[in-house]
Amino acid sequence: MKCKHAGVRSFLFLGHSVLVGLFLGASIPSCNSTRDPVRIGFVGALTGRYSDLGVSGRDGVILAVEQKNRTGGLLGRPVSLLSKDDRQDPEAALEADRELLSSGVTAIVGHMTSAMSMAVLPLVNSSNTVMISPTTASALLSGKKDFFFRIYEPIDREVQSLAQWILIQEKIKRMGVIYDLNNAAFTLDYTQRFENAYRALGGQVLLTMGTEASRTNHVLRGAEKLMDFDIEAVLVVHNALDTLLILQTLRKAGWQGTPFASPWSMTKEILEQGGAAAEGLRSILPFLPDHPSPAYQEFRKAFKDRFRREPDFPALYGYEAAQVLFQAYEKARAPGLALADAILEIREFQGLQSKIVMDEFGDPRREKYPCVMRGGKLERAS
Amino acid sequence: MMDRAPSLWKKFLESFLIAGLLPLLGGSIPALWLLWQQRVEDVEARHFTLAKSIAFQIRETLKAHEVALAHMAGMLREIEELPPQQDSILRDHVQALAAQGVSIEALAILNKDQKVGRAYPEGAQLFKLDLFLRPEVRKALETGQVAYSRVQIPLGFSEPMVSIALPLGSCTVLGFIALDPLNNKIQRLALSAGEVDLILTDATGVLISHPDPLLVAQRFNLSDLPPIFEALRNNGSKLRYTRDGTTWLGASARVPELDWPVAVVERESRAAAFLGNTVLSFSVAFSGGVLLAMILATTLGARLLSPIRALSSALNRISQGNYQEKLGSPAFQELREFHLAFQKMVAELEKRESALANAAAKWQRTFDAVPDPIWLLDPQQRILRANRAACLMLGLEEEKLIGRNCFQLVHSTDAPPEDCPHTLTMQSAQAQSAEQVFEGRTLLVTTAPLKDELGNLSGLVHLAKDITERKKMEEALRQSEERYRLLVENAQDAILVAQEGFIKFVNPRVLELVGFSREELTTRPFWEFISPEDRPLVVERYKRRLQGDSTLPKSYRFRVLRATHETRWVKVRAVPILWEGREATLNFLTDITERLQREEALRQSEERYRSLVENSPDGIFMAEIPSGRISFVNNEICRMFGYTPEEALELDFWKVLPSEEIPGIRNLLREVLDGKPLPQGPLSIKATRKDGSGISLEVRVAFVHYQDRQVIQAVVRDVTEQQLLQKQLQHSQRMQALGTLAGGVAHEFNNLLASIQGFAELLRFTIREGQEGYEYIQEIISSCERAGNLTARMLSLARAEAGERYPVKVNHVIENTIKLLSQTLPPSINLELNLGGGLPFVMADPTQLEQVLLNLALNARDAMPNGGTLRFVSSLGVPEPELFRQYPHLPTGCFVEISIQDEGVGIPKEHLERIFEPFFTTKEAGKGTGLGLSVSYSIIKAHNGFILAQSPPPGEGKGSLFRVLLPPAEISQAQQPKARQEAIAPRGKGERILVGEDESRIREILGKALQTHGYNVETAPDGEKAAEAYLQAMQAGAPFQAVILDLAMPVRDGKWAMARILESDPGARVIVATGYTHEMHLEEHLRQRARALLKKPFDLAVLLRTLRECLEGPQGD
Repeated sequence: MKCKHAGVRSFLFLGHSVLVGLFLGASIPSCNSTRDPVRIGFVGALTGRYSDLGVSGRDGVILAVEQKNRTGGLLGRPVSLLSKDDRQDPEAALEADRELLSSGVTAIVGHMTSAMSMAVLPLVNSSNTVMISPTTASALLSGKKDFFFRIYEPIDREVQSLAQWILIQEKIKRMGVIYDLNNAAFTLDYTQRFENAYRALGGQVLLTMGTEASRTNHVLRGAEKLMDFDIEAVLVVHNALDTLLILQTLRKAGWQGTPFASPWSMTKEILEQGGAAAEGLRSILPFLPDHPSPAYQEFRKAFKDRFRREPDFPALYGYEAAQVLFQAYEKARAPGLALADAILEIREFQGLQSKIVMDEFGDPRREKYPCVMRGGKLERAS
Repeated sequence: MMDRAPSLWKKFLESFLIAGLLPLLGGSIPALWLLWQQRVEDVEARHFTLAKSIAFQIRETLKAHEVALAHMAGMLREIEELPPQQDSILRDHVQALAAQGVSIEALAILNKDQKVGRAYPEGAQLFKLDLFLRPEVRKALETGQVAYSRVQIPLGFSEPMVSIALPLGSCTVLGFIALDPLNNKIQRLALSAGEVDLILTDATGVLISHPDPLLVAQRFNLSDLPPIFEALRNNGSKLRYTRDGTTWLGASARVPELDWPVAVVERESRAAAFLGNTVLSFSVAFSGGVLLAMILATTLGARLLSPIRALSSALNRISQGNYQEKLGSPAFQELREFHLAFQKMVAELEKRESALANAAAKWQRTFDAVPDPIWLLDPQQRILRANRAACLMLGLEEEKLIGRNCFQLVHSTDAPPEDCPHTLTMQSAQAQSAEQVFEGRTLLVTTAPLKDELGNLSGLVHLAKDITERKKMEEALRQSEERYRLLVENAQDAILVAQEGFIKFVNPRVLELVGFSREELTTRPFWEFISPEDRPLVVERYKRRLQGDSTLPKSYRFRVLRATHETRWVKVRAVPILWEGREATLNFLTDITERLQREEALRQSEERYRSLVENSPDGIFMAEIPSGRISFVNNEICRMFGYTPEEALELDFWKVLPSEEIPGIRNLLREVLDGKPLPQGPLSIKATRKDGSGISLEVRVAFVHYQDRQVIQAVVRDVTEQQLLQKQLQHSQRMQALGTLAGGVAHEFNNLLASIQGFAELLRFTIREGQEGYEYIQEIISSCERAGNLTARMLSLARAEAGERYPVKVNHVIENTIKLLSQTLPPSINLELNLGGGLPFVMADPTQLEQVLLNLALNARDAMPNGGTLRFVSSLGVPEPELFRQYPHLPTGCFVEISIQDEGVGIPKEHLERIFEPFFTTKEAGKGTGLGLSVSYSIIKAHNGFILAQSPPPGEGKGSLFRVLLPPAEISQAQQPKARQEAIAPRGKGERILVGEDESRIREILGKALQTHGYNVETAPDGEKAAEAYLQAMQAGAPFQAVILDLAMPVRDGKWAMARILESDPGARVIVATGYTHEMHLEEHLRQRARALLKKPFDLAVLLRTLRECLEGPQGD
């Protein structure tokens, strides 16, 4: 009898469970992921004057994650993305990374500027978490065996090519350089390397000036100061918005020289707000907006469908950084040291426009292209 | 074990439950579903209406911004004439608007002439921007309608905004709206609609408004959000979608006149909350249904199961062998069918028994067919069965054998023999075997136990096999093995067999080699006896050899571990073999440790000698004689001559010698080969580098035998630099001697000049103007003055001290020099200036530095009588390596360099070394003293710098280049501001200043400079007039606040004037300017009385600063 009662109870329970299950099944969305998601972090400046790099880079990573999840996720697990804003402030950058690490992210894509990457490097290394930066370019971070990787080739070769372009092809012998003091880890390194390369070829840098991008008047005064010197060309090492301010100031004052800029400026902002002042602006870019590679064209279409604008280089590099991370994770199947080792073991990644070949320290070599702004569009310089 | 079958009763119960509850579920669930669908449609319809309503309200809000913008533009134009107040008036207005939810950050009026007119705020950078290029401005101009931008951070701002371009009469107004306040206002619209989320984006999907303002600030693009996506594509709709595991009910619309989508979304779970009570009622009804079904199932089950149980009991009895058991006829048709199936099964069993009997007969035939004798025994060793071979062996029929003891029949004894395997098998219940001889044949007797069904020993099987031939073969094999064993045991090589990772066999030599026991060697994996470094290699080769890899070397070497933990090198030769039927390797090991040690000692010895030679700071080479072919060179030789080692070994010794050296060397070699001793000490030889440049060498030669040939072995030292240094030292000493000599002569000559000039002055008192001889006296005095200038310059050579030095920017010095030069250079000479940016300070006396640059520039001018370009360049850098070769004394490091290049006639090579010597000149007599460059040399040397001359300049065909290299100043943080401060010239506040100066040009310059810097200046040409002017001004009630007096002035000098002024006005601020710095007592005297003492020539900035300090100090002592 006892057994019989137990049977009745179990049937009652079963009945309730079936009923409740049926009902809840109809009303609550089913949880598709039977496994925990793989969490990855993105960090960059998402607000303020430096946010053009951050917003584009984040959009590139979003597209990569959405595509990955549509094709079954990472080793069958969905990928979830946590974005943080470093506000181009070292303290905020450290706080953002700490929050990401405490959320249990497998790896971090970011930061987008060299100054921020340098500020967080000790924290990232002590946490044994892989950080892949899409756009950190300073050569000061090269040659270190650590958890920091990047997609952008360090600038040493780039500035050499730029100096040759200016002096040998354009035959420009007197230049001024204006750079941003707030991202000195990149800008000062870029400026000094350029000056050395340019001078070694016989060029003269008549004025080198650092300005604080956070103070608009300071930037404008810097631009006006350039006019005091007999320079044939100017190299601007600033973010896109400040580069435009400087170029407009020079053009309004009737300056007829040739403008050059570091690739940092060449984001969507320069395309959208550049106008006549940016016409003829030259730069050595890490990508070609009209590159014919089928993989890039496919990415470009997907990006335009998703964000209703053309991709710029931070968007492309953000996307590629996420792809490198996915590929390494699929090989390592684990975060931390195994993931770092997997990146170094793979070494050669197929980028959308060119191969990304890393050295033993995770610093890549890849193709770059001299470009010029014509008619509001970037074209490959002949 | 029977599987546990499901209970029939439970099956009944389940069936009743399903039958009872299915209709209940079938009715209720569709009803609930229909109810839910109705609810969703209601919510969606409400959201859709809400979205359209909010879109309309957003448009109204934006229109309020447009109106406010037009109003502000009007205000801006009205108060145009009041720029200082304009900002504050508009700021108040903006604040008032912000309180009403209208937030305009900035605005600009764009006039028809494509220029920015007025703008707010006044300090905004809008004037600098190409506002006409903005898409919304262009659109507004084209359409005459208001146009909105996308979300972006506009130039000059730091936060995302949208801008409005508003055509207004003849102009267009552009306003910038910050998203944060706009978002607040829009989100308030959603609050009244309950717990729904309101989302607004621009035409690209970038957020303008969202409940989370952070997403707006970070410019998130939500174009993939289904309602936004729909609104961007179609004009808005209602829909249900799932995102991040949550289902939402949403609706979207577009803001009228704009393409901005608005979405209103709500969690589905919240919309479903009303279904809770309905579900509870349904649950209670379901439980009641379950209970009723169970009662019905119990009643019906009891009636169905009783006949089944009766059938089950009957079947149990049949299974126990009671085949006669009759089954009662069951009441149900299904059970009757079961009964018939059982009867069929019994018939089948009978058939199988018959088949079993056939099998037994077959077994007997097989038993008899076995050629070896077999019999079966009971426990007492009585024969139970015997096969045909057994009968033949024992010579009896099977029937006669059965029941007889086997030992009686075989051994003819009454008891089994001691080693009888039968007995042993009976005792041990194990199979046993023994060799026994029967009738001259050797038999292998094997006995095996027979067990009954319960496992008890019931007898045994006896099998006898004739093995006579096999025994003979085994004996032959044993003898063969013994021979091989002796060979292996006594072999010199260690021999071992490895199989499956273990050593299976070792000879005694192996034991000696490793010192382990045979047991240790054969019970541990063989790689444990191999040095850890070599284990991977040996194991890998062992495996590959077993796999038949024929590419492996036949022998190789590795280290083995001895029991004493030493290692020994062995060479192994291994071949794959079959050992006991399985794959193995046969290994011959030879101990090569001693041989390797000998080889290593030889290698190290060679390495030491090689290192000594290769790292020698001197070059070493060997060359064959007389061919001159070089047979050995060390690294230093290659570095010295610029060849790679391969190139050097291809060289002919004679070809690196200049032709003039060859006869001498040949003679020397011939003499030495003829037996003359080698000369003592090194030989000095000139040679030629790969690049064609010359090199001076000291060579020590020996003759040795090398590779069976007579060769020269030479140790070579490069003394080029040493010789150059000696030359530089000699030049420097000559310069110093000449300077000292010139200084000494000048000093003496000065004294003579002083007396000549003194006597001439005395004569002038005697002979008045107009008298005969007066002109001669004037000429004597004038010549004495010129000679005095000359001696002063000669004296500066001897002193060679720099004046007061402080951080100076060389570019300023160059610019000052250029100002002076521009007045003296003929128009045919172009000045070109390339000044490097960011140069560090140098510690220098700028006046002296200017003097140097002026000297160099004037020489350049003289060198270009037909005109040309004079180029000044300043830069910071490390001198090129070529320069270090020419000037070995030049220290390494960074220098600030000033170079002055002309396109003139240039300097002949033979003069280049002498141009800095005093009195060396190539100019025509009377045009140059030969002191300009030597003074410049002394000044730059006193500044720890270097002055170098190149003619023609590198890469040029003509002209000269003078390079002044100065060390950058190591300016501490404390000094830097000072240096900057020195460059600042403080301005006056209209104070009245009197300048007493006899030199009209200086007076004029001082007057203009002080006026330019905010002072009211009067001047006086001598001391008397200066004192007079000061006193008159005092009396007139308009006194001078300060007076600057030159000490050396005609009529009355500055000292007199100062005394006169201070007598009348003890508080007067007097600044004395003097060139007599060497008269210490005078300087001290002046310092006590004057407020400040300025040494001539002084920098204008120094004068202005000194004047300012005086004026701001107290008046009166």
